[in-house]
Amino acid sequence: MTESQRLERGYRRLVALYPRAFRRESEEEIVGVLMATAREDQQRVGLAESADLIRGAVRMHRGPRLPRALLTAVRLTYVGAVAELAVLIVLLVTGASLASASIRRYPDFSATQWGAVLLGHLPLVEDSDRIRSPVPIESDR
Amino acid sequence: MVSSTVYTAGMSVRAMQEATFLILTALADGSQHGYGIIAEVSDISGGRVRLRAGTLYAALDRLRADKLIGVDREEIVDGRLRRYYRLTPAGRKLLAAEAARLHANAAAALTRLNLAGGVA
Repeated sequence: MTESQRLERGYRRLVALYPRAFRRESEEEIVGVLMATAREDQQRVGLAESADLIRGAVRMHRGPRLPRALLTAVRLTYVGAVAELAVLIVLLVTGASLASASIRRYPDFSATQWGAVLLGHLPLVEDSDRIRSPVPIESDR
Repeated sequence: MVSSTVYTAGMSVRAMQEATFLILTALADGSQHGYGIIAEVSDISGGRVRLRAGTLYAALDRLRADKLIGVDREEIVDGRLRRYYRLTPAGRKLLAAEAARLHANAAAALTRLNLAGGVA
């Protein structure tokens, strides 16, 4: 195999990454351009050339372009996600400040107990005996 | 007015990428094949822009999809396919609008530079 045949095979390996419709119509054309722009003594595909061909393949696989309605839908999805993130941040921040305010009021509570309070398993009362025994005292009688 | 999501954003025409502008410019005075476009673009830009095949064909694919260029004719030279591209009327119109926009910007820049500091 001559050097130019080896180079051409290298180019074709990269062009194989392109969509089939493009290859059917333009493989010979783009290979012709690649061979014409190659250096006289070039033996293998350069790094920058490979990167450029791969980038081109990715761009073409993304299709001619998405319809406008679909693009709008995608954008709306992003807007929705950002809004949800904002709500989540607000909830976390207010939740944290509520918790720290409550911790100041009930310094004996452990983190686990606070977790239980937040989950609604424990009544939030100042009677520390009842809080330490989750089983209601009335049932002992 | 060319309606395309790449070249227009709402009512205003978005700035065209330089490679696209130069490819359309290379086709403005006659059809060219792929390698011819690369050579012309290099020439127009004073050797500054050297298009690679991947960039060129991605751009040609998009320009064809947008009907700004079309295939003029095909030839076989030394056993290789050469496809010649030409501007469509829509491509011509868009290139003229973009050239006028760039020209107006450049003129404004030069005017303000002269007013501010005089000619160097």
